[in-house]
Amino acid sequence: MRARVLFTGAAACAALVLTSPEETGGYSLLGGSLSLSQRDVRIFNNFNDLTANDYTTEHPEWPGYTGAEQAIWRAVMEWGSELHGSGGGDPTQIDGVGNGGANFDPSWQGNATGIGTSNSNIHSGLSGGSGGVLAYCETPISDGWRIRYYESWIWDDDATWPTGTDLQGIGVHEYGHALGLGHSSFGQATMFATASGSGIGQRSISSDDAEGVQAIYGVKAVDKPRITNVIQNGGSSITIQGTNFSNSNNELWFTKTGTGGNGTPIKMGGVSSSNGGTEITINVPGTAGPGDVMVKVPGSSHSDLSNGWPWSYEEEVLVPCFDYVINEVVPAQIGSVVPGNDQTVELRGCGFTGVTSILVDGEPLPTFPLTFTTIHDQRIQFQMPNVTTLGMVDIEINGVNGTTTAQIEVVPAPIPALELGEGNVPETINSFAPSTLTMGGQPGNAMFLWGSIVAEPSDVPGLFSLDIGDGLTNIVLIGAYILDGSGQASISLPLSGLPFGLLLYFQGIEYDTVSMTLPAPETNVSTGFWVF
Amino acid sequence: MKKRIAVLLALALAAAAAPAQILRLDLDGMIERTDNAVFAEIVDRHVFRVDDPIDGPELYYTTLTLRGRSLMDDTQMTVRVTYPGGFISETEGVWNSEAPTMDDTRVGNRVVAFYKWSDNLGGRVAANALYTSHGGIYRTVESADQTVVMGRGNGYAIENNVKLTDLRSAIAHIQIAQKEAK
Repeated sequence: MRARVLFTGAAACAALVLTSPEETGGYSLLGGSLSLSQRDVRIFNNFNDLTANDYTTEHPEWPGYTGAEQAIWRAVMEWGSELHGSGGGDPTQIDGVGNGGANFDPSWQGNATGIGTSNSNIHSGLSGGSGGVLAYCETPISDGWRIRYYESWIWDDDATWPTGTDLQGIGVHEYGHALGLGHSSFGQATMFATASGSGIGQRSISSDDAEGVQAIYGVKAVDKPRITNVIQNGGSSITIQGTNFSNSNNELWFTKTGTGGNGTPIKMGGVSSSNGGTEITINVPGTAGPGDVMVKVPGSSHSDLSNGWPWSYEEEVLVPCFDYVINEVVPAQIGSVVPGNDQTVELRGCGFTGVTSILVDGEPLPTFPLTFTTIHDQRIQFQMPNVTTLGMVDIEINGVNGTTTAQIEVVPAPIPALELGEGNVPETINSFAPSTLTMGGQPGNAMFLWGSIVAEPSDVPGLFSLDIGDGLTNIVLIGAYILDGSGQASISLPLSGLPFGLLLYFQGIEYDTVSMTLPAPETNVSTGFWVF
Repeated sequence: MKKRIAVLLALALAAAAAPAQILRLDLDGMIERTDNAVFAEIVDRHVFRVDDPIDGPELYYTTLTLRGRSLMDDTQMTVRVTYPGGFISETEGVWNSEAPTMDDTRVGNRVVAFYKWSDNLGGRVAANALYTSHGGIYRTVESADQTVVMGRGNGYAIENNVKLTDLRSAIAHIQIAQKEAK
């Protein structure tokens, strides 16, 4: 859910002052709800824009899907009763994806083969445009829905910061209609009738939206079944962990594998639980694919269906190997500044069992906490640190088999980037050690760095568009910095005297000092969580 | 380079000092984006269905026939405006999340409407699109000696109730300003 503490801007970050709490109560209801048989969500991916399907980053919370599919999946799961898995995969939502808090959870069912009728529960593109309308939802609510996105807009599937119209953000709004919400009169609600900027601000539902879905489906019941983890046991066996499972006759819902179907989940009935309703161990049916698993206990009320939990069964067949070597680095190229902590680099090769340290550009990765993971003998993953050397950079791994090396190409950040500290979302900051802000972009450009305590947009048409500052009413310009030869600039922020729990938002505007192109593109938002 | 940075810095600071600016469809934006605005009576309301091989089946559209005067050039006119959604009968049709309400579009209502031609509203339907669907139509009421246009609140082109004469003047001023800007 969007952080909605309202503050008034001042001359410096340290002087930002709490002024008023969030207002809610603006939601409206359409007068219906989706029954348990209408919880399926699919997409017919007929989106033409290149940006609608160029987000190819796989994420363990969204297994098996990238592009527009993942964007729509992320959108609908924001209305879920609780975080989808860990809630990760969308670095723009500091509190994770899944904030409905109601007896409502969607069932992700992947790709459809067509647009479907007006109650087929499918998202799809629609040719043409209807003058100022981004998308719409058609529904006789209790009988399903259909959501259409006008192709006159340039749709963007990015989990990070979209360059076009945000498919995820608009999708959250439209799915709110599907589940029974009308437009809200609360200006900061996702269900507010008009979208501003790219629509990214709608990704995270407000407390007003949450109250709306809770008014329809009820506040999440204490006895609602809840999945907290899925463990792979090898082969097709998995163990689902959680609470409030029925002792017997549970029904498991899986996302179907492949494209098609009619939206009905792959169901496995008559399943018993163990350990007092906290564990279910089963062999997954072959028709189930990567996606979500849900547990439905006997009954037909909204609270009888659990949250969706991401799951993927992939049996990896390892070809025997004997040399100690790195054959491949994925990705082979990476930006010098990658915001957040999702910059996973995977080494593929042989002999990785027993690796004890990794060096990037001669610098060892931290080992406490461990920043690399040995998946198995032929795969190892680590979080790429920011490096100041452009071009081919050495990666060295050391362990019981000795030392072997590979290289990764580091390029200037392809899109403006900003990272606070280690890039955690949010990054914990305090008064004892100044926080470092690392800016990335094209060498020689200027980066205008802004700070705010309000994650609401500030648009200056023709100049720039920020996702923070609430119409420039709660924002400070920290400074302007020239990006060095590696496309980076770093500053320290000595802060003190802020109230515990304050969220600080930072964002940059990269200005091309040669072409002087306007509007100037913005970086991602980096968020700091003030401790003391 | 320092000078360039200083220029942008000055712009940024100037912007920071200005009133809050968020992208919203105010009256200026609506006039800039649309072909015309009318004050008219709804004399007919018609819903039709399209089944299209590309855009899919069960596409419903509502066409309103408006008879009145342009708020841009004061000409008398009859125009048809169309938006997605609607019901052919009580059981056939779709509720569309962005469409105006039935109450807003009843025959006999006197409304202010903004529209723009679209070659394809989906399903290869070419028509004057009611701009921003429900955000493009505003009901009016008659008071003792004047017509009042009902505002729809924050985020809409007509945010607050306004006299029709004042709205007409505002549109004229916006047109002049936009012509001068070009």
